[in-house]
Amino acid sequence: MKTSIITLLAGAFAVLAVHAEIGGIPEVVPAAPAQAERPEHDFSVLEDVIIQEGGRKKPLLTFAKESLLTISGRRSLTFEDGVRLDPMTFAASLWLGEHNWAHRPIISLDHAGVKEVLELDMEARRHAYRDIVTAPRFGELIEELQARTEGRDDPELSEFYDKFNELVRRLQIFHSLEQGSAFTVVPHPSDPNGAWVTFSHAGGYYSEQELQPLLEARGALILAYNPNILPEEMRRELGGGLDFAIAANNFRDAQRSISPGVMPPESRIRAEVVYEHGNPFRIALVLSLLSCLAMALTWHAARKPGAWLSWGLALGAVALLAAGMAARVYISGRAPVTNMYETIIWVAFGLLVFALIFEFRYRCRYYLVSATPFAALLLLVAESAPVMFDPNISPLTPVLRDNFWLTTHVLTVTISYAAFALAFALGHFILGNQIIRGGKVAANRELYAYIYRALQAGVLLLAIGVILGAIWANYSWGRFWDWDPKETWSLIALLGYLFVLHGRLVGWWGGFGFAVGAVLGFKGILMCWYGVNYILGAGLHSYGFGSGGTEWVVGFVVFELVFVGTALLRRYYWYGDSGNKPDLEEPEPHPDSLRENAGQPAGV
Amino acid sequence: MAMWLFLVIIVASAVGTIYESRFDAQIARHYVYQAPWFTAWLILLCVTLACATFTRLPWKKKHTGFVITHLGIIVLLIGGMIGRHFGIEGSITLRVGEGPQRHMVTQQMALNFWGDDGDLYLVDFPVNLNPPSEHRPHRVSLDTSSRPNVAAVFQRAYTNIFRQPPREPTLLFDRFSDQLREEISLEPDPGSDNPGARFTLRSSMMGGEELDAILVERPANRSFESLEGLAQISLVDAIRPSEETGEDGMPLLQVLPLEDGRVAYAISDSRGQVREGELEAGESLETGWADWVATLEQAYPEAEYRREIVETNGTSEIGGVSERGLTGVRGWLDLGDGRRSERQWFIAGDTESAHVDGEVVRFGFGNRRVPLPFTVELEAFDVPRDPGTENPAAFVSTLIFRDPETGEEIRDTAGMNHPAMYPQGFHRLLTGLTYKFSQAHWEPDDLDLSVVQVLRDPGWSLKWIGSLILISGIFIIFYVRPYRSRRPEDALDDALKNRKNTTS
Repeated sequence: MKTSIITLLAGAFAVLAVHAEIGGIPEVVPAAPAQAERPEHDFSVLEDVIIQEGGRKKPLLTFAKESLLTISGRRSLTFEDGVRLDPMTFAASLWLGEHNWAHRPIISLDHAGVKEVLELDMEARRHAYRDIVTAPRFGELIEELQARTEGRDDPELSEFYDKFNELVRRLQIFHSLEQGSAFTVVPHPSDPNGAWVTFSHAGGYYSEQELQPLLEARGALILAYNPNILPEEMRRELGGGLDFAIAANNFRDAQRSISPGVMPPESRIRAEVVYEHGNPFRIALVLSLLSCLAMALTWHAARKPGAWLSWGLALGAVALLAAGMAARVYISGRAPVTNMYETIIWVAFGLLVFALIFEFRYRCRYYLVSATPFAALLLLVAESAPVMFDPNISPLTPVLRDNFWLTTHVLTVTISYAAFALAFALGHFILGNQIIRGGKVAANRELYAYIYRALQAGVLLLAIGVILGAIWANYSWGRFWDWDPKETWSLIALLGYLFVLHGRLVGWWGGFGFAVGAVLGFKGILMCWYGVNYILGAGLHSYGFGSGGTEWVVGFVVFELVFVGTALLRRYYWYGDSGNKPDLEEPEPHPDSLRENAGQPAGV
Repeated sequence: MAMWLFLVIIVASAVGTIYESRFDAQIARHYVYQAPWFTAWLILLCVTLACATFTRLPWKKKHTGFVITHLGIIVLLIGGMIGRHFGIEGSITLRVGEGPQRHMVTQQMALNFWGDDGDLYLVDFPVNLNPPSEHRPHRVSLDTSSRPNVAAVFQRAYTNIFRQPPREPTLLFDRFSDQLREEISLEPDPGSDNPGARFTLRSSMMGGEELDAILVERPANRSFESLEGLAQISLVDAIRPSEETGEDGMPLLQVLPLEDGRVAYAISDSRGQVREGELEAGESLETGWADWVATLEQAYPEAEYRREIVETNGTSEIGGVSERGLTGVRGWLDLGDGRRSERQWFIAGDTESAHVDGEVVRFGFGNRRVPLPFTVELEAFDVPRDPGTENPAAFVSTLIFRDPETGEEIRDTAGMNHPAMYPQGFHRLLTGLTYKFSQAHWEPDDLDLSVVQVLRDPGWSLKWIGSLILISGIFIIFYVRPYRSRRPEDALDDALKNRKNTTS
C-alpha cells in the first residue's frame, strides 16, 4: 500500500518536474535559506549515480567535487554564518531541491581589476552569482569579450579579459547547475559514446513507457529529498517510504537498468568513489613527513627503531601513492602523468622509491631523511593549489592518446626528475652543513657518492626518456628533433648535469662542486618541467599549459640561489671561528688518484 | 675545450626557446637552431668528441663505455645533419573528393623569373625566414648566363656585402610582410575616357555585411560585378530599359555615370520589373533583390581605377570577419646601369612584373612546391569526438597513394600518433627512405579538409642507431664496472662488499 502511494505520488511529481524544467523553474528564493539549502541526508548512496560530463562518465561525487572546485576554487566552503557547503550537499540541492546559492558568495574571482569594474567587494575572494550578473557594467563587458573572441580560434586576450573570460566560464557552469542543464544523467539508449541528456530531453531517446521507471525513481528521490513539500499526515503515513537512502538507491538502480549497454563498469565507478573519498596523497604527505621526523629525531640515539619506523612510514607513503595512482589509471585508462598535478605526484612517488632503493643498498639514512621532506613538499604543492594543478581526471588531447611509446617516454622523463630531485635534496645536506660550519668542511665522501648515485640514475633515465621522445616524435610527427621548447629544455637540463659530471672528470671541481651542481642543475629540471608549460607557454607540448604560481617558483629559485651562494661564501670567504681553516682540508679526490683508497672501508 | 662547447650550446638553446616564446618557432629556428654558426658548433662538438675518443687510443677495456657513448653521440649528430640536408619536409592540403595531388608545399620560399632567353629560372627566396630591411635589401640577380664567370660572382658578393648598387639587372626587396591588404580606389581622371562608379551594398539579412562594388569600363570589355552570383551590376554607355536581365538571367542594375557625379540607372528585380531613375552620391537605392540596399559612393564619367597594397598591423577585419592578410614583398628592379623602377609591393602567388623604361621583368614567388614521385588522394577524413562533447578524440585521414609508373595503389590511414607511409615496407620504415604523412591541421568548420605533413628523412636510421649506442654507452659507464674507468664512488661499493664479507 505504502509503496503504491509513493509510486503514484512520485509519478505525478516527476511529470510536474519535467514540465517545470521545460518551462524553466520560476525563481524561488526562500526567506530563511539556511534550512532549505541543506536538508540533512546521507548522500553516500547518491554519490555513485553516473553522470556524463566533460567527455567522461563519472560518479556524481566526482562531478560535484569538480564543479565546486572549478566554480569556487575550493574543495568545500564555509560561509560567514557558519553554513558549510560540501560538494554533495551543493550538487544535491541544485539537482533535487530549492536553494539560493546564487545569493551566496561562491564564485571565485580574485582579479582586482575585474572586481573594480564590476563594483564588487574588493576584499572578498568569492562573490555571489547575482551580484556579478547584475553588476551595472557586466553586460557591457560580455559584449566586449564577445567582440574580442569572435571568429578566432585562439584569441589573445589582455590579462583583464582573460580573467573575465575565466569568470564567465565559472558563471556558465554555475548557471547550468542552477538550471539543471548540467545534470546529464539520462544515458544514451545504445551508443557507449553517445551524449547523455537531462530529463527534459530524455523524450528524444526513450518512449514514455521506457522512461517511466527512471522518472518515478527520480520523483521519489525528489520527495525523499524534500519531504517538507508533502502535507504532515501524508508524510507520517509514508514514514520509511520517504527514506532518502532507499530512494537514492532505487534511482541508482533505475539509471543502470535503463540502458545497461552504455554503462561504464560498476567496479570503475566504485573505484572512483573510493578514490575521491580516500585522499591517499594527503595521507602520504603526512606519512612522509613523519618518516622524516622519525629518522631525524633518532639520528644520534635509538637509531635502529628510528630507522625501522621511518622505513615503515615511507613504505606506507609509497603504497598510498601507488594505490592512488593505480586508481587514477584504472579510472582514466591511461598513464598517470598527463598533467602537472599527476606528474608532481609521480615525481614524489619516484623520489621515495629511489630513496628506498638506495637506502636499501647503502643503509646510510641520508637518502630517506632528505627525500621524505622533499616528497612531502611536492605533495603539498600539488594538493594545495587545485586551481593551478588541476586534480580532475579529464580526457586527453588526441595527440596523447593510445600510444605505448609516448607513455613510456613521459614516464621515463618524469621519473628522471625524481632521481634529480633526490640528488637535489641530498645536495642541501652538504650545503646546509657547509653554511652552518663554515670554512672548508672536510669532505664527506660518502655523501658525495650518494649524490653521484642519484645523478647517475637521473642522467641515464633522462637520456633514455629524451631519446624515446625523439623517436616517438619522429614516428608520430615525422621529425626526430625540432627544438621545441620542451625538447630543448630537457636537453639543456641533461647537458647541465652532464656538465656537472664532466666538470669533475676534468678536475674543474670535486665533491663539493658536485653538491652545488646537483642543487643548481635542478633549476634546469624546474624550467623544463614547470617553466616551459607555465612561463614560456610555447611549443608542441601544449597540452600541459597553465598559468599561475610563477612568483612562487621564482621565489623558490631565488631562495635556492641565495642558499648556494651563502654556502659558497661560507666555504671560501667567511670561515668564521669554526676552526675549519682551508689548509686543514684534505685535497679533493680526483678520479684517478683514488686507487690507493680503494681498499679502505669508507666507514658509515 | 669540449666543456666550453658544452656551455655555449646550453646557453644558445636556452636563448632559442626564449626567442620562440616571444616570436615564433620559425624565427627561432632560423636564427639559432638552423643558423650556420649553430651547425658549425655542432660539427666542432662532433670533432672534439671524436678527438677525445681517439686520443685515448689504444683503447683499453676500461674505455669501452666512454668510447661507445661518444661514438653514439657522433653517429646521432651525423644522422641529424644528413636528415637536415637531404631530408624534405612539407605539407599537402587535401580535400575529400578533390582528386590526387602530386606536389607538396615546403616552408621554403622560392622566386621564379623569366630570363632574357625566355626560360624560367628558380632561385631560393628565404624572405619569410630572413626578412630583408631597407638597410639590407634582399637581392635576386637576373644574370642568367649559363656559366657565371668567377669575376662576376666575386663582383656580386662584393656589391652585396658592401651594399653597393648592383652592376647587373637585379631585383631588390627591402620588406617582407604577411599582413598586406589590397585597397581599391576610384579617382577622377579627366581625359581617360573610362567611366567609373562605386557602390556599397548592404543587407541586414546577411548580417549587415557590406560589399564594395567598383565598376570601371576598361577599353576591351564591359565591366560588371556579380553580387555573389545573385545579381549583376553593369556599367553601360546608354540605359536600355528593355534589357531586363544580365548574364544567366540574373537581375540587372545598369549604371551610366553622368557629368555632375550622378548616375542614371535602370534596375530589374527578380520578377523582371524594371525601374529607372537617377542617383546622387550618398543616395541609396532599394534594389528589390532580397533586402540589399545599394548606396552610390562615387561616380565619374572619366575615372581611373587604382589598386594599392597597404600594410596593416594585425588582422584586418572586413565585414566583421577577420581575414588573413596577403603575403608579399616590397621592392624594385635595378637594371645595374643606374635606372631603377619605382618601389612597390609584390604579392606572393601572383605573376608580378617590374618595369623600367620599357624593360620588363616578370616573376612570381611563394612557398616552394616540390613534386612527389607518386600521387596522394584524401579518401575520407574522420574526427571522432569525446562522448557527449564536441572535443575531437582523434583525427583520421584515409589516404590513397598511387605510383604512376607501376600503377600500384595503396590505402593507408594517417592518424594522430600513427602516420601513413609510402612507399611501404619494413626496411623503409627502418631506413627512413620513405615518405611519412602525419596529421598536421584541420578546420573545425570544414571537415572535408585535412592538412598532412610530409617528411622524408634519410638520417633516421643513423639517429636511432646512434641513440641506442649512446644509451648503452651511458649504461656501461655508470653500471658495468670492468668496462669503465675507476671513480671515487667505487670505494663506497667496495666498502659495502667488504662489510658484507666480514659479517658473513
